[in-house]
Amino acid sequence: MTKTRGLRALVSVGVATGVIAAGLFGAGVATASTRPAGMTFNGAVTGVENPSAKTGGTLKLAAIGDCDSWDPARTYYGYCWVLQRIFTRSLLAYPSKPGVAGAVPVPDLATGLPKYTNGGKTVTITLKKGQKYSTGAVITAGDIKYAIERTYSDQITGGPVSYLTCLLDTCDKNGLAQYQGPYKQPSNQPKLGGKPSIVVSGNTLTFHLASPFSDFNNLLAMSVTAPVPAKNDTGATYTNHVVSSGPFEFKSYNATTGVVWVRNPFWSQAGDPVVHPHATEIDLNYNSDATATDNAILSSQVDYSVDGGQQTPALLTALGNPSIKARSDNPVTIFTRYVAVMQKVAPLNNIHCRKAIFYAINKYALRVIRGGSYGGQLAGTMMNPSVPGSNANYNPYPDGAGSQGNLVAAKAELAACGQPNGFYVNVAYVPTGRGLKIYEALQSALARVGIHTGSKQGVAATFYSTFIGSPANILKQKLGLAVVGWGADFPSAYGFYQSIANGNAILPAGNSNYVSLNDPKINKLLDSFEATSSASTQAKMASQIDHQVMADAVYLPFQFDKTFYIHTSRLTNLYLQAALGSYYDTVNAGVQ
Amino acid sequence: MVRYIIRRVLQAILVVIVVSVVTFGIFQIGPVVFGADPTYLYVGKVASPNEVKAVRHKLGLDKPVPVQYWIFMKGIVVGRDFSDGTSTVHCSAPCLGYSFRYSQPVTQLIAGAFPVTLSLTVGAAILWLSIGIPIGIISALRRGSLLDRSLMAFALAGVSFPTFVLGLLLLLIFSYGPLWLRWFPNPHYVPFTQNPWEWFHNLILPWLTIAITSAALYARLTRANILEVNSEDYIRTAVAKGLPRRSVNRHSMRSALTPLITIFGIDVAGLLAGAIVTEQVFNLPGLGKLAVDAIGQQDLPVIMGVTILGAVFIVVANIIVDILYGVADPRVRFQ
Repeated sequence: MTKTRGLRALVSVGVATGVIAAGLFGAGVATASTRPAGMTFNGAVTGVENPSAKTGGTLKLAAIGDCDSWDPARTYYGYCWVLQRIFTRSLLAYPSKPGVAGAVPVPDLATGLPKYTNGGKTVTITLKKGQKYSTGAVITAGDIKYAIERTYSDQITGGPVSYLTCLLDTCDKNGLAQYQGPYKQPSNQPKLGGKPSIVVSGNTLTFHLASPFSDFNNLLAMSVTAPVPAKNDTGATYTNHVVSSGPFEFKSYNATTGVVWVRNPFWSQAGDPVVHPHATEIDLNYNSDATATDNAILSSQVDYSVDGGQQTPALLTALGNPSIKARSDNPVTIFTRYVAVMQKVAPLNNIHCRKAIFYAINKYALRVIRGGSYGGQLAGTMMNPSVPGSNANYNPYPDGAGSQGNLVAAKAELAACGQPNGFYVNVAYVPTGRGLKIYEALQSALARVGIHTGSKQGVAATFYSTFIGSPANILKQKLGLAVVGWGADFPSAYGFYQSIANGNAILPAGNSNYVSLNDPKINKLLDSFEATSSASTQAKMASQIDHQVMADAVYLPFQFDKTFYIHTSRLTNLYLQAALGSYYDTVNAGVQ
Repeated sequence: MVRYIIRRVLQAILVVIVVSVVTFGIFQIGPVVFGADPTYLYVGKVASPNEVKAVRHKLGLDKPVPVQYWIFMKGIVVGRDFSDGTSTVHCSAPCLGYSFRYSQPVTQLIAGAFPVTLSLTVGAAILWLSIGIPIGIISALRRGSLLDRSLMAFALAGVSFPTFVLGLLLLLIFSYGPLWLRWFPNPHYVPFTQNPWEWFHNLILPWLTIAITSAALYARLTRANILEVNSEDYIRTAVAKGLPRRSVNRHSMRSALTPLITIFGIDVAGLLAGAIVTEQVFNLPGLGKLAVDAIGQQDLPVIMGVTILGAVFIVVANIIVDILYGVADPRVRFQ
């Protein structure tokens, strides 16, 4: 044949092959699963998908990488707190229920809720008898005391231990405790006024607090207070050999490949009113390629990812396929996404310059980058809807038409701050994932009113610890803005705002109060928040704190994060644990 | 030859030392130059100044950089102890440091990752040699024929295909594609000792990914070498003297395939140092993935350990290849 006809034939064959391949592939995806019986879109948000009493089987899960630590006192990743429920128990725990019903602690290892006396400064709670570790040893009240004591050691870093530190021991003006932990001071213990603050008598623990703390039940529900047998404690390496007090124990753990949990033979349902495990094995595999995990979930080879939702391509696949959408959930999470406006960096030390940014921002564009309406719910205030007392509709800085910015108000604020033609500000961000696009969207939005931005890229591993987490570095590098997210450590205004808004929480590194907010009104409200146990008073205070934070114009919220999860159709008893970040409560999930 | 080998070994040691100094320098001095304290990579999200100080001391980061380097290199020879105040971890020689991200000696992490990379390398090497060299030979012996042109078109396509594209395509079709094409599972590594069939089954796609590209290259090289050798005077003389074609081919093959030894050695060493792309695409926890993850987490001890190991593989491979080349080609003299 001639060259031309030969070439045409080749092209025809190529095109035909491509069409056939696409058709086959598309057909494959479309028939990847039949519509799952009993499952609906968002079914796990407010209810339990596929309730079933059937037990057995292996859950196949995925995550991008290892938890920051499996040591219950050293983990701060939200999804890791949910995974802690697989192998640890605490005196109290969040119920295995979706929605707000799952956000109030109930007794777990304890026989009942604690009793508060002495104006709320004395807390008494009793441990159930006969509960056992995976080693067969009995869990004692002394183990819980030890678990809290070890958090005072400089080997045990990284977890949310600061809530307990000065509550149970004498601290200096810099917030440093006198007690240095059982490794250095084996004969000592936390003390207040020279007297032990944790007293064990049989199975009863009595906590003497430095001041009333109405959220103490939430602290007792944290994994930080999970029992640790002293003889098995290896300090900083305990993460490799955690002794289980929960329904599952570690069968194998490889920090680079994943974890396998199997049932703890010494755990019994009779003694655990909180969780109801159904699977007999949980396999968690790590894959740094999120797209590969999404494909594995879509092809039902992995049940779900434990550390976040799916990427945009998978989201679009689900939206276009009713059977996949039916096994998807899109909850509003506990995280607020916002721009930290650093008030210590000129000209942002002028509140009107900050407010100019508040009005100029294009929230719509930022939300589009983060997944549109499936990626977030537009926000006008900082406090997340998951926090009691929040008002998601409060917005002291109207966003303009389509939430794309109020340029007239922005320009008025620029004039008020003496910068009518705008100014220059650096933006700190991590150039991975959506980081660069977020920066570019911010750049475009602010440029409309003459605010020009410079790029200051950080590294993910140190972004929150020493880049924007160091007030000194913020000043040194003149970091004016940073797009970050925050979720409450526990569901209360104190749990949400203490670390990011109280002046006494500013740290030299690892600081979460990025803007160095030190407003006496907010400090006073937060300091006195825990002194009252009245829900209505706390709701009112929560609103006051939120309004004042917004009035200070340092935190510019643009959305309450949503996550789009896809899971397989074979799962049972699946729901999202709202108190711990709206992740699937793996400990209770089962398979058909 | 013995003196040659000794000299090459000494040169290799020097190269590895230089690599270690450069790597150590970059990753120790870099954070200091950019105003970052590497201690914060290891203390977790929230840490008090006392905790930071304690971890800095535990890591040895409070010592001068040359002292830190000396301690690191000494550990390779005699081993080292890492203490956190509660327990002491002994790291036997060759100790390549301690990963505070994973709370394990680096040697342990590498020992866990190396079998994966070795499995990947050996399997892929067998495949690409088995495919590439025969194709090259057939193509050379049938020069100009339709078969030759078809095989070289395949080779061109194989060489042109980026590894990660090929790997992702294979996954999309055979792991995540239509049900009837899902011949391979969601990729993960299963040790041979745990389940030989699953080990083999999970490695087929990664092997093919590397082998297709490499086979194409080896086919082209083999063909080119054979054609070049066949144009040599001694081959033409042999043909002119009436030597059977089979005998002539035997003589030309040896000369044509000898240069492939060099390339093969370097390729295998490079893969052993970490087939980064393939391991990332197929989620294989080998040395390449270990290195990539360590870089992302700025786990300096792991980065050092993997880099030094990679350097060792490359220099050793170079020595072996040079020696084998001399054995295969008597014209080469060791000086």
